[in-house]
Amino acid sequence: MKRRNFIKQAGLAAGALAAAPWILPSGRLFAATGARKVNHVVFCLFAGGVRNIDSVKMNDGNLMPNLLGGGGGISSDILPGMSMLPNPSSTPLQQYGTLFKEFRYAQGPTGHFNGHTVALTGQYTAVDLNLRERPNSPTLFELYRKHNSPQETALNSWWVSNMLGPYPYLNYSKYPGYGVEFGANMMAPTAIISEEGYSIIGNTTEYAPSLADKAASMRGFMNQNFARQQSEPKLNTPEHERQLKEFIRSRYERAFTGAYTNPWGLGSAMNNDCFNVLFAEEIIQTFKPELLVVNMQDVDVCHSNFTQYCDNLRKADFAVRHLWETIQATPGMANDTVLIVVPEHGRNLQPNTLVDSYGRPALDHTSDATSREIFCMILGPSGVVKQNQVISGVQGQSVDVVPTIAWLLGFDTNIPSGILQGSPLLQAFN
Amino acid sequence: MRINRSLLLLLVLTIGMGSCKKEYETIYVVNKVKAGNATVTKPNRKTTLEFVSILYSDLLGASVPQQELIKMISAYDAFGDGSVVEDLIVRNLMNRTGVSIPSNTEMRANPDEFIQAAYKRFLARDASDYEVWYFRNQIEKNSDITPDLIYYVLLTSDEYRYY
Repeated sequence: MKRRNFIKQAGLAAGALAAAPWILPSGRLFAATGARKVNHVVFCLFAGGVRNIDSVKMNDGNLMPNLLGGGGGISSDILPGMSMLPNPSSTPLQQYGTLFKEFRYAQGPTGHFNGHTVALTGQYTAVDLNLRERPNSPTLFELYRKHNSPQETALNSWWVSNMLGPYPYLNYSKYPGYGVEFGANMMAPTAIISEEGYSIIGNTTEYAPSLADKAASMRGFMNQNFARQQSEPKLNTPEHERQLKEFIRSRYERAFTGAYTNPWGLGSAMNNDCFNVLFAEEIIQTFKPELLVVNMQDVDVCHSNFTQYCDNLRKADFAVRHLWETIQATPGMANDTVLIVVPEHGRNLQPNTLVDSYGRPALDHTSDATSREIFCMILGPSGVVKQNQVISGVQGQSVDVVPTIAWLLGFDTNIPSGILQGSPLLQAFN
Repeated sequence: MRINRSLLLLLVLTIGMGSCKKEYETIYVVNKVKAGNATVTKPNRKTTLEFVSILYSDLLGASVPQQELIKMISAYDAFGDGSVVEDLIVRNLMNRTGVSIPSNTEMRANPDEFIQAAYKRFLARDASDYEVWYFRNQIEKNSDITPDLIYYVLLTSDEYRYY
């Protein structure tokens, strides 16, 4: 090609490139247009069914002194049933953000799995879900991984579940066009980092890195030769799988050194919720994910024991404080993270027939008006989140959390219309 | 000059052709070998239950006890990336007493036999000549490759996930 022709054609190509829209790996046009407000979001499903009467309205005193300011002491009749916990900080977390005191889980059955599904898909469900099935609508994780620009790996997206059953299935949906390749890494830590878990996936044959490389090479030879019927999308790359295995292996190592024996100094008060948050913190410290969702559900003991429900509410409150402090102590996430705390639903106004040893009747959650009343707390840097703001009127719904996170991470404008029911909680932000 | 050159070329060709001996047609053939896995048909992916049950049986030569099975399924449920869990389960089982693995000496004494036996045991088929050659070559070139490493490779291959 003559020099003049080359210059001419190169110029035309450059011009066309500049004029054409960018086609991203996802197949969509244009990069994300929404500006990021922060680079990390941690969403804590303060779950298990928490009634506003017992949380923000403090009917039995302030059971959440780490999150909420004010309120009196705990009711004397249930006080003997409370565990010894460290004194709360003099600065309740609500001062670092905005508290919606009258948030709503507006539609659908007030079941735990329903509540989790709504919170993670931004879509209310009309039917009572309790199946080991993936959601019908894309999850927050898939929306993030598919529509964020640039696209991020699953190491940046985590679902930390405090129990098994249907909950692990929330890391991706069966919605066409989404699925495992956009899913989150999911871990139910207390099921894995345990004696039982160690007996199955711990105590493994270990290979030196050079041998592991040779094994990978030989496996590559085999996989290349084996023509599968259809290629299967993977959640992680081989390198990230290696990092995940190392993460699990090092948890067992920590367990053997006693790192999980009274890690927070709570003694026997350290319940499953606290351990779940502890492992979420270790994921935060290790991977610094852009998006992490962690839940707690120990307050659900309220079906049979109201006093223990109150005590577990105090522990959940302490765990959130610990989580916040860990985030602020993690380089790369400190002052660049928004923490959102929301129960999945509330509990009934009227009790059931069970009475605990302190004479308090137990509470179910069967979709009455009170079981739809919840709170939402959004905490973050002062330049992003309005500080020490309390919104007392009825504002915000469960389905608004996903759009809010999408807005914070700047991929909201790329989500196809009709996927989400709610809208960002802009009242909470500067 | 042009005529002289043409004459010279003709002369050379004539001499050359005249001096050629009659050539016999040689046909080269290759032995038939089973190359690659193109003919292997394993269309069905094992379920989690099938995978762990077969794996346990393949390694320990017994049915997986019910309690063990429940724990294995729980481990699957508790971690989102099944590939990670499978790798860890394989290496856990291989680390247990009772797993029958030939010694390094046995493998190196007869690599072909070792490879064929491993393929039959885990993949339920004969290894192709190419596969035998490949693994033999790896074993001979790398003194640190052990029988359990080869087992680990086979058990974590895509093919082992199918039947």
